[in-house]
Amino acid sequence: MRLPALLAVVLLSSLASTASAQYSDEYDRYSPTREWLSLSLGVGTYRPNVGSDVFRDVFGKDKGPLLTGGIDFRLFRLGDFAAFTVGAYQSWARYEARACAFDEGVVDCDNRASERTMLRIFPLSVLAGLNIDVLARKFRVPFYFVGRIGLDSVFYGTRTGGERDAAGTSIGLRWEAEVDLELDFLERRAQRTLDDEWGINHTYLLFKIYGSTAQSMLPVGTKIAWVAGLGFVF
Amino acid sequence: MRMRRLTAWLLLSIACALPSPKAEAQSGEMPLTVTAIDGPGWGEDRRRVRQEDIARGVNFVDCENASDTWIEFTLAPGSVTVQALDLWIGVGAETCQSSSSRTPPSETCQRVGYIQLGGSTGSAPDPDEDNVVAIGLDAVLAAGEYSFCDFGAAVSTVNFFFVADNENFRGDVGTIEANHWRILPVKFDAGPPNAPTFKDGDYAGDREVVVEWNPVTAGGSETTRYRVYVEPRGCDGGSGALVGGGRPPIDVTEAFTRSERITGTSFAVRLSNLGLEIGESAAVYVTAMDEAYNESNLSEPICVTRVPTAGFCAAYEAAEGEPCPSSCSTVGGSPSSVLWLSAFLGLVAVYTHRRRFAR
Repeated sequence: MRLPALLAVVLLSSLASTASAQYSDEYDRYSPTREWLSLSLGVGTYRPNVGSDVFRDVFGKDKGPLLTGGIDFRLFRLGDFAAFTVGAYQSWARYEARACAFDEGVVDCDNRASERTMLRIFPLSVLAGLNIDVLARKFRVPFYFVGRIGLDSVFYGTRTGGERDAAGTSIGLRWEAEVDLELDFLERRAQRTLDDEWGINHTYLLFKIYGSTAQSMLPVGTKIAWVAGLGFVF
Repeated sequence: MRMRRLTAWLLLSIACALPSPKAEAQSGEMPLTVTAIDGPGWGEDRRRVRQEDIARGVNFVDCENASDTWIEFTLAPGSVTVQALDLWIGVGAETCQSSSSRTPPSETCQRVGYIQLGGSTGSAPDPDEDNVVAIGLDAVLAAGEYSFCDFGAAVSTVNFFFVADNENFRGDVGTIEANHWRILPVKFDAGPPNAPTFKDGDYAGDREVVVEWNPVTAGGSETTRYRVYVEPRGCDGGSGALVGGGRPPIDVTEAFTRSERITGTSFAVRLSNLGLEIGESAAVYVTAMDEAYNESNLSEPICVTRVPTAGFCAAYEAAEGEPCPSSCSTVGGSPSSVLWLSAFLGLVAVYTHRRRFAR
């Protein structure tokens, strides 16, 4: 019973290697360009961790959305295992609600005026990261795992009734954990055409969670937030 | 066969390219144009000289104040020698070109007068230039029993038929040179749109309150221009300068403020600029304007009340016991400047890469 199973495995392996050889022959003229940066765009939610219930009281369940974009430069590689990166990420989110009633120093957010109050944040971060792509490069399992850490500066501005209340920048530490699904497996010919014509080596979907301790002025960091999007490796 | 087609195509092209004698003869060739409509409006409404504004035509405010409204026609200087212009008017399809339209007893056009170049009729003042005539609207309306200037009248075209140096001309235009007569149509629209209605809401705030109203349709299309009138303390027995449902005043007084023509169906009322104390209210009205800038009656007013409010920062201060931290100069300047700088750097990086890749 073991022999047929063994034979089947050997047969399948030989077929796979034959297919692989044919595949390689078809594209043996292809030589990928050097990967040196990645660009990404995404959308997610972000809820500033103001420290008390003020944000929730004023803006309720408003979580953005947060729009984000980033550029990651690949400094050097650790063989086929991973690449060290440094990059800049910028985001934007806006929260708006009707102003709360205010009577003799007591804020009553159960009663609202028609006047609008708004908080706008613009996180800009510089992060160093490790992009582990060994699965995709060595085993054709189309996933990357990325970890980043660095400086987060969150510009903020708040207005009520069309007038500015405050504006400033809070600085803190930011961490990110990201998983990417490389889309090359969907159509490898198209991927190589993209590389030939545009220098785009890989295209991927990304999902990341992150947090920020930016609170040097107004506490506008977040305990945890998420972003999903699309990225390109050049 | 191919040559025949080619010849036919060439002849057709030439025929299309040539000016149509019939078309020109229908309006005359005298180089006279409408160069201004001067009415009783205010500011930008008063004297309309841009062709797009002239094309909007004469509106109800002009008609209502006919003795203060005139239309200026300018003869291109040096083009033709003209001393005076005989003026007839016809309404709608009547262009006054045919002699029968100007000949009793069945005339359908009315004669306005014989005006010296550099002169005027009716209450219009004499123009500054010698090659301009100013036609007072009161003189036009006095020429016949017309309804195109009545409140609510349908949009009409009034044709101004000019003949040079030929007083009381009742003859055929074929007997005079083509550059000695001209028909110039002017649009009249004296039908203002309906007044807008405000959306329901509790309009209260400390600094600024955004009021919203329902859009108004005029002539089948949505009106896109509105004016907002604000009378401080107008809800506490106002000055009477503004009355809901009444005509909007032409002149602005100290009793109220009026916005420019705005697009959209909302407007931010700056309570902090009105001098209201907490608990006091301002009356807000809105009017709609159609393409001819006919202004509707005033809407029914809403009261915008000044009340103390707490925005995000006030709530933060109440909860944390300290004000929202703020700084005049932030790291990297304003968020938008950082955004643009980052976008620029990103583009430079991609461009550099593309060049390197191209090599």
